[in-house]
Amino acid sequence: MREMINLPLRLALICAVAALALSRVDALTREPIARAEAQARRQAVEAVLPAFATLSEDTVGGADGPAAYVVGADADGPTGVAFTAVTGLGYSGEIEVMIGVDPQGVVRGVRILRHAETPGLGANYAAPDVLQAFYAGHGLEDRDWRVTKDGGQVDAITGATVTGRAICDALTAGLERFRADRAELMGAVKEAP
Amino acid sequence: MNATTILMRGLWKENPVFRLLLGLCPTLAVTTGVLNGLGMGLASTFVLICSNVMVSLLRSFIPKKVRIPAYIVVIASFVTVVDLVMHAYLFELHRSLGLFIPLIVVNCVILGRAEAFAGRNSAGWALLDGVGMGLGFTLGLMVLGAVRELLGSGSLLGVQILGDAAPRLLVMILPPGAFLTLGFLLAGMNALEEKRAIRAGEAYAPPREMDCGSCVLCRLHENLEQPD
Repeated sequence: MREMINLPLRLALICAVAALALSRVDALTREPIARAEAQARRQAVEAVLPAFATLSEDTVGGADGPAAYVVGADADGPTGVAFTAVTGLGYSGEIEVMIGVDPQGVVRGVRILRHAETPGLGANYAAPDVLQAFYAGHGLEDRDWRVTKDGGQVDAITGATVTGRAICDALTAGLERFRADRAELMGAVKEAP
Repeated sequence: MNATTILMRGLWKENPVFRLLLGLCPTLAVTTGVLNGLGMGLASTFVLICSNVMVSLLRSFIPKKVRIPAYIVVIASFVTVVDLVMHAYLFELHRSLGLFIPLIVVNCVILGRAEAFAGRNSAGWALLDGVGMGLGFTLGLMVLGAVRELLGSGSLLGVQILGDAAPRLLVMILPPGAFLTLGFLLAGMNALEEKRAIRAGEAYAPPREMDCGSCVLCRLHENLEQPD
């Protein structure tokens, strides 16, 4: 009988102390984590946009719900737009990319925000110079956004076609969304003082 | 017992990866490169040291019959701390290891040391054991990572070593490469041990730890029946 009370009591005590300690650590790290996430996102935005003086955030209601855009502008008006796109076609799980385009919709820079691709293989796409060489300099109109293996015009890393295909999928989806939202987005920026 | 023996046995004689074959899940999963191995090894070492000391301090408080759940709570708590702290302050490393950090909870090295050593020895010894085993685990992960990174991507620590002419064995960075590398390394270590034993004139017995029946966790029942 004593044991029946003693065992759960001691176990519960250990759990309670652990829970207390964890809630403290969670409270202490919550802000730095949010800061690190936001900083990684901001760095990606700055890396994919053409030269800009100011940044403004905008949400435009597209056909499939509102989409968030970051618009870079200088004295002469908008210089580029950054937005994210997600694909579920990755080799292992989702891939989220940050895409930067100029106002005409030509890709200027791409960064991978989140992925779980094979290290040393699919993960090699995350290198900035690879992304730049494979995806920058083209828009939706002047290129077939499929990997060469599928009959398109986009290079892929040997042995990692699946990841390349997935990134193409994300870019196409993102660019199409931007094309649909472009008029509304650019109009809104022009009206701003 | 002396301090040097406890500290050093984790590196070779009772190396968790190559001798005890514990914690193979993270061992096989993250060792695609030296850096990943180092990160995972150090994170595990931290958890191992903390849990060893905590388990040792609590060993008279934790009733024998519920010691395994109690150990798991202690270990899981430290793992969560590592996960949160790494996420906050080592963002890039966390991004490449993120998926595997929670797996430290089920890393048998940690539960194994809590059960086999920390739960029966004082905090000082448990600390030394944690340091030794942790470093041995880290070393094992780095060796595996180095072999796989060199053969699979031709680099070490992300720096290209092999020229473009050298072939890249893609299979080495994929999961089968982990099993192949570990198998060859284990065979090599056994061969070395056998040679050493023969030279020293000792009878050589293949490592008993590799037989799963001798694993501590498979003998929980026996341990339970030991008198307190």
